[in-house]
Amino acid sequence: MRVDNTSGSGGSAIYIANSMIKSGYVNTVLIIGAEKMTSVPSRRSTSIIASLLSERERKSGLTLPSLAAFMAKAYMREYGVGMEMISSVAVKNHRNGALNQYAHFQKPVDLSDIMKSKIIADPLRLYDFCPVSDGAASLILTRDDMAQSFTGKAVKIRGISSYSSNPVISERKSLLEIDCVKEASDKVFKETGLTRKDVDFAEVHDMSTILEIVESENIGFFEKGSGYMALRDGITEISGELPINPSGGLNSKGHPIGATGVAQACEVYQQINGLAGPRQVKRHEVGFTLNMAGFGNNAVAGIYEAFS
Amino acid sequence: MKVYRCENCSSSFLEKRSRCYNCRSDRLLEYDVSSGIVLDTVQLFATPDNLPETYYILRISSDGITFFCRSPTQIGEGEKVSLMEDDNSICCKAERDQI
Repeated sequence: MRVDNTSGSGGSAIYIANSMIKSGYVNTVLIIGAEKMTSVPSRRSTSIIASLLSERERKSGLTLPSLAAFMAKAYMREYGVGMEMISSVAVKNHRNGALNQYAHFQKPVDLSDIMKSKIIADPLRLYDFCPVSDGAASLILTRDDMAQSFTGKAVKIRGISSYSSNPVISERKSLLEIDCVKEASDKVFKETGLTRKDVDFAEVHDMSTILEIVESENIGFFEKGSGYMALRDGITEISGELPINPSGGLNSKGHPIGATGVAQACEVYQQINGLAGPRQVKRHEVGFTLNMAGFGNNAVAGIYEAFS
Repeated sequence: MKVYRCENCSSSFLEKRSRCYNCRSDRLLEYDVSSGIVLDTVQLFATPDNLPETYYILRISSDGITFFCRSPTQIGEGEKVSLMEDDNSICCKAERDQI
């Protein structure tokens, strides 16, 4: 079957496959996420991606980068944070991506490179956004009692949840609260009985630098207005207490739209099995993923652990 | 431009709905807004191929509803704008620029 849910397609495919296996409808599912984006000019792809917005918001000329810019301005205004702090997400994620042989960009960047780059949606610049990427990722999902017949290194989906928000962005109460991210996260922690403190590392949907910070707060890893502090204090670095996007995230690894959610799960698989090489996180028993469609139209949150 | 308000809970909407997103009432009224106040602006330099290569997106507040519109020129926060909608666009113009 084809699962088409814009940027959230991969996470949704895993969510559906997991439901189909749990219900006993199927035994095993091969999930393939793929996207070819570079075959059209960037302005055409901007137009195609903007088509996921509601009809009248699209008529206003709104795009996803412009929404990220409004979010960044709101965050800076609310918490007194400068643009350099927000762009530090790109420094961290490009550093991580440089350690990932599967990343689109495998070269570190520093803050001065970022601050000199082209403005895309003021105040956000080129490096504040994920690149336009081609890419694919795949994984096999199967019943618990069949896992050992595929591999000795299986990873278990401890829980996976999905939630939808109002797709009309201007009707939301706040630019800094993405309901679906908060609700999908709350649901998956409730479902598994785990707490945020149990998570060893996370892959989140950093289509823009500001989104990594805001999502990390909406997920509940950090208090509102303190996501940037975690970044500043090194907590979200590979060597930190809660590494976020050790793969390089969408920002450096790339965001081939339909593949992203599957690629996040692949990164979690590698990290949990200790196969992530130079970007291996220290504690890697429990991994968290957050895959988001549109600008928070819906989200899928997953918690993974070693199969025992 | 047309917007919608729930008679029951007074929530306002940009998109037409059969039921209120907030209280599920089906008593939704259509009304017109013709002007608003700029809350925030963003200048865009990477735009869709059917639109100009750069323009401003404005976040507007008007009569209990917040929405976005497009302007070719910069309009400051707090300024009053006139709104125009046709089949393809929702645009605005600073009232100071009008004769």
